[in-house]
Amino acid sequence: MVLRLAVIILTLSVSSSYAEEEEFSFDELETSPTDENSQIEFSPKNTYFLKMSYLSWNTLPKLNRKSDSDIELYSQEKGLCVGGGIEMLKDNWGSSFSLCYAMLTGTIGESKDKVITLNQNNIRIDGLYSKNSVFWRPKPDTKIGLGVPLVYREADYGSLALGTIEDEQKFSYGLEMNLEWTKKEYAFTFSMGQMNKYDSSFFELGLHYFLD
Amino acid sequence: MYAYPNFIGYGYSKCLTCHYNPYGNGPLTDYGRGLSATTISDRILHSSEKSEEQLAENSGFLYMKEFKSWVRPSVDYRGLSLDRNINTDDQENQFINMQGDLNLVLRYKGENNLFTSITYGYAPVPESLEDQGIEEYRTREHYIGWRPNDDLGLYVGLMDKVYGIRIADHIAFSRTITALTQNDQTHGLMGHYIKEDHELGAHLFIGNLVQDEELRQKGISIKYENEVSYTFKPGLSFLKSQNDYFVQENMSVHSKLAFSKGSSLLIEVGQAKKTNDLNKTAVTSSYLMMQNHMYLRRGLLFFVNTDYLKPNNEIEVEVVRLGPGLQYFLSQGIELRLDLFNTKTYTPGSVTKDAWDSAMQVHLWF
Repeated sequence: MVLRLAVIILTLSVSSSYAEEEEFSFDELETSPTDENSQIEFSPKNTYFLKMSYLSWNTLPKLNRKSDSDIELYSQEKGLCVGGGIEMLKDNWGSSFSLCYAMLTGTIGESKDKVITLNQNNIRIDGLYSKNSVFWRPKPDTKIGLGVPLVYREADYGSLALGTIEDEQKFSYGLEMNLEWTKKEYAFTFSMGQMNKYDSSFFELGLHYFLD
Repeated sequence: MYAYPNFIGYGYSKCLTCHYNPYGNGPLTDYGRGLSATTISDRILHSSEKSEEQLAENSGFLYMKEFKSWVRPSVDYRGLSLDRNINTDDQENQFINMQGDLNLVLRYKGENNLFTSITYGYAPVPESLEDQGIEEYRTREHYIGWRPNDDLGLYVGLMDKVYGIRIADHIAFSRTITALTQNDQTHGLMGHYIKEDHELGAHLFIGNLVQDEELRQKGISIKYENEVSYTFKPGLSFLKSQNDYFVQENMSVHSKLAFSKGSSLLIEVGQAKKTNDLNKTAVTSSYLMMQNHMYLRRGLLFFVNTDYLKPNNEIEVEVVRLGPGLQYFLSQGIELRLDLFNTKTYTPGSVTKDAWDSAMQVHLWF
């Protein structure tokens, strides 16, 4: 899946660069050693975008055993997220909000105490992933920011002879770092962070298409 | 010294502009030194009265102004403090002197079109090869380069194989799975042709002659790139080599893309097939290398590494290693770098906890 996303990025980078390649003068930049201090022209505006991303995290669902105490299980989830959002730009900073529908598949391996191994594959997980970010723009086409991700997820764990698997909480929040590189109407995004009570960091690699 | 293909973000899409080797790494040309003293590095250690021209003029060996035109010496050191398995019972720290080299470029008539480059120094032996009697002090590179004209170059000797995007991160899957890591140099003949937007390299090699003959990988590699613009350079690579035990076949497509000053995106997607020559069994692996650099201020770059590996295309196991980092060129010849690596392994029926590693690196070259 990551490979597929990479091929898409590669293809888009080709198409966006072949299409009306801008006359970008690096010579002008290099002869200006004070470039980093120069004022960058920004125009405040709101821009809507569509997004597609690949994301992954580990969670800790609970096995409610019929004959024993509950135990936590290691679960790993990954998949695509499709949606859209809005970016609000002002001077060399801005904020953004996005929401996407996540279609993930999960694997449950062993229990946290390593007593039980379940080996469950291809568990269907549906969710909503929202990014709320404030960012700084070091240059007009790059952004680096911090955000509060919100996740709502529903997993279909099926039934087991041992008992039932449930998520302790379906809604979670966290903290993430967001980075974005823009080329024409496309942007490549990278996010990495931690969700409350999840068992791992999470990451998201994505593409934005701006509707201008 | 390794190449920095992300400098396409500064408008430099050709390695030959700054390096004697047309595919990067190794010693810098005078222009490359001047560039590293000005465009690339912070000037925080210099007074504001010092002009960019003065910085460039003093960018020679040990910050000297001039040297004999026929000789270009340089020294190079890399040290790494590596923390593995952070926040676990298995956490360990290790300091590695990765490189300590002396290099000498001898230039015929003081020009770059006929030269000899010799690098000798300390090269640590990987733990897995410690019992093979490999010398820690050795030459990783020595070759003669001849460019009869601007278009064509011929290089003969010990050097890195021509393939893919040559990045400094020798643990990247694009380098390990393709057998192109820090000790995989080979003796051979490399041809480099550059004309307008096209750049083609072909490398015929016979293995590292220091190795036992049955271990030497003999073969050919080819790399083609098309410079669509100063900001975009896609390419293709192919490699096939063989020794008495296995056949290695690699192929990849890559793209180097620049954003505004200093920012870039490098992508390489490929596969490597390794066939056991005795029982003819083959394993094909797929990989992805992606590096994004973001210019924060002069000398300072934020970057993200994304490394993906499917070790065997027939088995549903995947590894993703990714994380952010900071790269700071404090001054010419002083690079500081911090990497965080988060590794996730996806195995059917099994879930492993993430691994976190960090690496702090100092790189000095004078």
